[in-house]
Amino acid sequence: MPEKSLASKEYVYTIEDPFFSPFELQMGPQHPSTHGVLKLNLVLEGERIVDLEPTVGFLHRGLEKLAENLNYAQVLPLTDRLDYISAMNNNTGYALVVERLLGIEPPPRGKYLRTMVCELARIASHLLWLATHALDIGAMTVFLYCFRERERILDFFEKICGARLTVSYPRIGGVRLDVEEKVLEEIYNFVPQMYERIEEYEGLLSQNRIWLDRTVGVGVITAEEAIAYGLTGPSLRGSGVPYDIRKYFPYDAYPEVDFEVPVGKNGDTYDRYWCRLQEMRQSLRIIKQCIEKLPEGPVCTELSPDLDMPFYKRAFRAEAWGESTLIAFLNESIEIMPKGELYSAVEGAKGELGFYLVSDGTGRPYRLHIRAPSFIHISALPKLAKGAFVADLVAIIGTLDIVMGECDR
Amino acid sequence: MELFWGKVDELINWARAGSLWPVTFGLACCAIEMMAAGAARNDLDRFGIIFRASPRQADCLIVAGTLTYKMAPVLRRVYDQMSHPRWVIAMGSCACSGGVFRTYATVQGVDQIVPVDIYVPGCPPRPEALIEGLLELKKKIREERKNWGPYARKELSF
Repeated sequence: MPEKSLASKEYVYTIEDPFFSPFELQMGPQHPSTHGVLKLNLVLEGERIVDLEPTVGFLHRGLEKLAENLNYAQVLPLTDRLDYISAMNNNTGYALVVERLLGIEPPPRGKYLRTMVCELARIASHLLWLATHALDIGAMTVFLYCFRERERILDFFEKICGARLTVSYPRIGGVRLDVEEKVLEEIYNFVPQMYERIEEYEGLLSQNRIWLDRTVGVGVITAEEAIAYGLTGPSLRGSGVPYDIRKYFPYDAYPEVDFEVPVGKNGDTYDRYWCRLQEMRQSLRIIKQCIEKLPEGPVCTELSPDLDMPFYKRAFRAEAWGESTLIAFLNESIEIMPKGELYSAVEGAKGELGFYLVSDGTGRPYRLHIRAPSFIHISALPKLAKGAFVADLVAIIGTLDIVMGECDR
Repeated sequence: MELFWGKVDELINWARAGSLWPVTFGLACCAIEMMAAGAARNDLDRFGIIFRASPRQADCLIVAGTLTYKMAPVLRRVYDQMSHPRWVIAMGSCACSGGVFRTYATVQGVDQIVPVDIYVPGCPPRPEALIEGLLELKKKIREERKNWGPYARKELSF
């Protein structure tokens, strides 16, 4: 009998909730505030997020593979569809990597025009970010205001190159067409108006109590963690790291214009918001300087390989690489490009947009890898969102400025 | 009697065409133009078109952007969740025919997944083009006959 009682002591009975199971919630892929087709598997405890796992790939279009089957000039329109909100930056990034491979450089006017349109695209991107971010948090007015100005910028794009979103205006070796004086004047007049508009948005949001409650202290990431996660762009600068490709590895006309890199302090959603608004002001400064300093001359180098377009015909005439025309580009047996691999990055609107190109000498890229900032920012999402409320998750997704076309490629 | 049913049709179609509520099914680039169509300059509200986030409360699906094979079951599910009557607009070249993305991952046209009523080509189509497409859909709805009650046509199942 005593033995039995000893044995029964070994069993320890604990009272567990037999119905306990972590509450799993699937957010997306069709959800208005995931900014595209991002799917999040959430594990919740009440309203708190315990665990989060992002699923990407719902917009994987095989763009990198497609690029291997096209020649260098034909890949350029595909890069529009990466970060479709600021297509000019993508085009410039791709054009730069091929230019660096070929060893050509655009003429000064082309450089300045590229810089100008890149900054316009950056403003358009930040405006869309502000519109959707504020709409997710609950401010409908900002959405309408931001789209009003965005339409004006898209009108400029339309006057410059004929397209609104997918522009393909920067080309390998410069830009496609010159900009009319009248359009330049309009953009010049737009700059002071835009300063007032940014103040208008700030007046609506920066002191707004609801906005402050929803953004201050939400999604905090320290500078070390941000660097460890590989964040770039405004998401990193909000944490206080003044890293900007335009300053550290300048390209195009950026070394010749004067601008500052706004830096946040706390690394929360509000600081990133503040950084982006300041960046828009700096972009306006750059645009103004670009128009003032715009030199005369051609906009595209003579050596640039370009699509064979009827009214702007430009065959690939490079004496340095023997006899080579556009047709030679399609011929895979002749080596017309320098061999090698190359990484070059531009400061896209979301962060460091890098293109890694491997050339085997033929007219087509052997491999084109795109370092998309959105993809890397999504990897930081679990870090930012753990412990936050479900309602704050929307703000955190918004603050990272994710574009799924770029993330999934 | 036919005259009477014709009048009933007209009334029902008028009501349906007057408040066309699309689901926000933004996939890629075209979603931005769809948002631009709903925002300040091209105000879709003036046509009675208000975006709904839930497919249960919507009667029109605008497929805006590239549809991949991974996303195709989701599209089909969203379409199945919508209540009758329902219409589909394929917005953009990718949704119409695959567009430039003739790759292993892209569905070559959403008409392989759901029946499509209106195709809006363009890469991406301008907001004006989307409005044109929506107005064409309205015309199509106005011409429908006996698409209600017991007469509602059964959906093609494929």
